[in-house]
Amino acid sequence: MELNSLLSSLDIKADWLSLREVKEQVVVRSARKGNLDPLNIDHTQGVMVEVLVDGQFACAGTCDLTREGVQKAAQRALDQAKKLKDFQLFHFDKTARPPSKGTYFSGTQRLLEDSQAYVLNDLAVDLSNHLKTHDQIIHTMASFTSIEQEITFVSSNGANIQQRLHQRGIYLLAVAQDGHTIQTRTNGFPVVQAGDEFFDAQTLKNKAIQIAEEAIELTQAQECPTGLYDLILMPDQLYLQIHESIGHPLELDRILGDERNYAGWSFVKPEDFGHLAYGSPLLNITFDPSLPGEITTYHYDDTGTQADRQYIIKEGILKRGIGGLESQTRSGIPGTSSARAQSWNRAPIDRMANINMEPGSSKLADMISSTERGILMKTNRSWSIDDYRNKFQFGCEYGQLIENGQLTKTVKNPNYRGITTPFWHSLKMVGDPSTHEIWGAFYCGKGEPNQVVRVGHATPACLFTNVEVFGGGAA
Amino acid sequence: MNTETWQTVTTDLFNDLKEDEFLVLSLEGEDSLFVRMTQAKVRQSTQVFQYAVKVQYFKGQKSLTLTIPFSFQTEKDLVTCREALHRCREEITHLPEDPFLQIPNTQGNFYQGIQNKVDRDQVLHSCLQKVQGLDFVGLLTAGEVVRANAHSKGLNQWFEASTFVLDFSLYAANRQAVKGIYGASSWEDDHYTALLGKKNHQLDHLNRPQMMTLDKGKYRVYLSASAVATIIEGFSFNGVSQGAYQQGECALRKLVDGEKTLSNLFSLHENFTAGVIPRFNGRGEVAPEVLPLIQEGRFQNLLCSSRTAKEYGVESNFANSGENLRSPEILPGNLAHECEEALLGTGIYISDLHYLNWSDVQEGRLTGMTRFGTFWVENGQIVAPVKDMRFDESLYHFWGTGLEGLTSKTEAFPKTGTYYQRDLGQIKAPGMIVNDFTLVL
Repeated sequence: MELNSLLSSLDIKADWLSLREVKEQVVVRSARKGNLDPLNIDHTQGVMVEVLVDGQFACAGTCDLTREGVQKAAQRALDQAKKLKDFQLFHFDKTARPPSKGTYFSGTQRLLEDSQAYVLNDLAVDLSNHLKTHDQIIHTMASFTSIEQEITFVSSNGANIQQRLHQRGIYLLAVAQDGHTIQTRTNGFPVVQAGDEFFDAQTLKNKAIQIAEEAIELTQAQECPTGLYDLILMPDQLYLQIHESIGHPLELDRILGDERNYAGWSFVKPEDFGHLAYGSPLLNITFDPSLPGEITTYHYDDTGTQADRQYIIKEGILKRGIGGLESQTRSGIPGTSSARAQSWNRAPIDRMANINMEPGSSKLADMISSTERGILMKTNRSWSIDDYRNKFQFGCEYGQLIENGQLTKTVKNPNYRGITTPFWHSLKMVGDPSTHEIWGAFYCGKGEPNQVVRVGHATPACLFTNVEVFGGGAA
Repeated sequence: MNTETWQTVTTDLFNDLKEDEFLVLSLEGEDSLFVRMTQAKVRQSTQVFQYAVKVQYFKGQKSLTLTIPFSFQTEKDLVTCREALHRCREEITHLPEDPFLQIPNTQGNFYQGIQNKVDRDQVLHSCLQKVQGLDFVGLLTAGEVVRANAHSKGLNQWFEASTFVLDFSLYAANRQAVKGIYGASSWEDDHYTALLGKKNHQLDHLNRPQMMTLDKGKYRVYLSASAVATIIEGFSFNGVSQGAYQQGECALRKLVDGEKTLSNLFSLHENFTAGVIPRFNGRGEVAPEVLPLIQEGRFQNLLCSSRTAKEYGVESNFANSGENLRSPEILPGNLAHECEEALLGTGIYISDLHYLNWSDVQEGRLTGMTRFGTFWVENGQIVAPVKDMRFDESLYHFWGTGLEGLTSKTEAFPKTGTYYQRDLGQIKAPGMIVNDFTLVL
C-alpha cells in the first residue's frame, strides 16, 4: 500500500502520527587472494510508526508491512506513549516535526542493473590479484560495497518526503611480511554517494599496486620516533580526527547528558556556544548536507527537517551544536538538521552527517617546507578517545619523517596522542582546495539502543605543531 | 514466537529445491522494547518487531547469501522467500567456483523455547520508580529474541529467550559516575534494590570535590571484573581468530608462534554451559560446549570457522563467521574477593574501561581509557577519586609478566550491545591485579 494511503487508513487517536519507511539493499562483493568470497546481499524493509500524545513521543517499528501489521505497531506506540506519562522528560509539540514536502535523489553517472553487476565480482578478483605484487605480500583483499536506500516519510501534519540514496565504498588491503615484521596498508576505505562509476578499474588497479608497494616498504622502514614533532595529517586520517574530537563532542544529546551511559558526555557545556575558542582562527567547520558526492548529502533528516549548510565553528569559535529540533528545543542551542536513524528500526537521534573542514590557503609543499622536524601521517588504522572527548590517541598506517623542510624516510607504526582543544589550537596551516578530499565512514556507532549510521567528512591536509608522536612495539 | 509459520515456510521452500540445490535458512530477530532514559525519565521509547532470514544457497561448488525480512505472515513470507530463491538462482550463474566452500552437514533437532514472557510494563515501572530523584541514565531492553536454523538435509534448531537487560549509570554532582548492569528473565525487586544500594555507596566515594590527577607512568592497578570484561570485548576483535592469524593480523600471533608467553595464572575459555546463547552458529554448526583457548598461559585453540578451516587446512571448531568470542570466560584465580581495595594495597582501582582499540596489534597492544570510577588506594583504603587516564599496554604484559593474580570469584556480564538487534551471550571474568600497568595521558 502506498505510504500516505496507509497513514490515512490507520485508526489511531494521537496528537500527531508519522510513518517512515526504509527500503535498503546492501551488496558486498569481496575477493581475497584471487578468490571471490560468497556474495552477500542484505535486503531490509520496514516501517517506523511515531506518535505524539500529550507531549510524549513514542515509536514502534515493524517489518510486517500489512495494514494490520502497521496498525498493530501504531497501537503499541500509542499505548507506550500514554504509559510514559509519569516519566516524561520534556513536553514536546508538533513543531519538532515540520511538515516538509520534497524529494532528493543522489546524483549518479552509471547504475548497473542487478543482472549486470556481476562484472564487479570479476573486478574484485582481479584487484585482489593485482595487490599481490610480490611474494612478501601474504594477504590481499578487494571489497566493493553498494548501497541503495529509499526513505519515505509521511505525517499527519502534511510531511511528504522521498529520498533515494546510492552509496558506494571500496576497500583494498595488502599485508606484507618480512621475517617477523608484518605491516598492513589499505586504501583507507573511501565511501561516497555515487553510482557504479566509482568502481573505475584503472584507477583502482593503480591504487592497488601503490598500497602493495607501500606495505612492502613499511616492512623495511624504521619505527616512528617518539617525541614532540610537528605533524601533517593527510585527509584520510584528519577526517577521523574531526569526527572524534569535533563531531561527537558537539552532539547536542551528548551535551544534554542523554548519552552518558554509553558513548559518553562532552567537555563542551551549553554556555560554551558563541564563546569557546575551540581551535586556532584557521579552524572552520561546517555542517554541509549539500556537497555533491559526500556520503550523507541529503535534503531532509529523519524527522522531516530541511537540511541547510551551517558553520559549526567559524575562525576557531564554537557557533553551533550538532543535533535536531528536539535537542535544540530542550537546550536552547542552535543545531543542525541531523536527527537521523540507522534504519526503520530505530528512532532518530542527534548524529553527524557531513561535518567538514573548510579549505585554507596553504599548499602541501609549503607545509612540508616550513617544517623543520615533523612527521607526515596517512590513513587511519587505530582510534580511541575518552567519554568526554578530551584525551585521544590515533594510529596511522604510513608515516614519513620531515627533516629541515624535506620528506626524508618512511616510518612504520606512526601514532600520536593529545587533548582536543590544545590540539586544535596547535593548528598552524590549513591546506588549500588542491589538498581537499571527501572521506567518511560507513560505521559510526552511538546511541541507546545502539545505532550505526554513515557519516561524511571532507577536509584538506593540515599542519599541527608540537604533537606527542610515538611508534609501535612494547608500550 | 510462532514456530508453525517458520516450519511451513522452510518446508515449502525446501520442497521447491531441485536435486543439485541445497539451502540453509537462518532466522534472527526479536520483539523488543527499548527505553532510553536520562535524569530518571524517559528520553525515547521504541518497540521493535524485526525478523530477518538469511537464505544461504548452495549449488555445486558455489554459494551466496541473501538476507530478507521475515514478518511471520505465512503467505507473504513464502512469496518473499521464493523471490529470494529465484534471485539466488540468477546470481549464482555469474559466480565462479569457490575452492573454500564448505557445505554444512549438521543434522538433527534442537529446541529451547520460553516458559513465560518478561513483563515489559512491570520491568519499566519497577526500574524507574526506585530511582526518582537520582541522576540515573541508561537503557532498558526487554522482550523476546529468536535464533533458528533449518536446512534442506534435515536440520531444525530453534532458540528463543525472553529477557531484560538494564544497563545504567548513576551520576554525582561532580560529573563522576558508577555503572550497573542487571539482566535476567524475571525482575526481582530485592536484587535491584541491593544493586542500587551498592552503586550509591560507590558513588559516595566518587562525589568528592577534589579529584586526584596522576602523572603518566607505570602503576600497580586492580582491574575490576567489569574492566576485565571490557578488555575481553575489545580483545575479541582480531584477538582469537584463526583467519586473522593466517592473514597476519591476529593479536595472539606471537603466543601461537611461541615468540611470547603469558602467565600461567591466565586461562581463557569459550564456555556455553550457561545456556544464554545457542551453541549453534548461523550455519547450524554446533560449537564444543567448552573450548579452551588459553590454558594456564599456554596457547590451546583459536576460533575457527569451517570456511577458514578449508582455506588453511586446519580443523574447524564451528566458530561464527567473524571468529569472535560468543560466551567467553576467564577462569578465576586465588585472590580472596571480599575487599578488592585490600587486595590491591596501594595503587589504582579501575572500575571500568572505555573505547578500547589495538594500538599495535602485532604486539598485542591495546589502548583505552579508564571510566566509571577510578580511585587511588593506599594501604587498602580509598584515598581519592582519580581523573580518567589513558592506558596503552600489551596483553603480553597484563596477562603475562605483569599479572600478579586473579580474584577467586568471577562475575557474569550479559552482553548489552544492541546494534541492529539485541546481542545474546555473556562475558564471565574475575578481577585482576597487574603491576607496571602503563598510563600514557
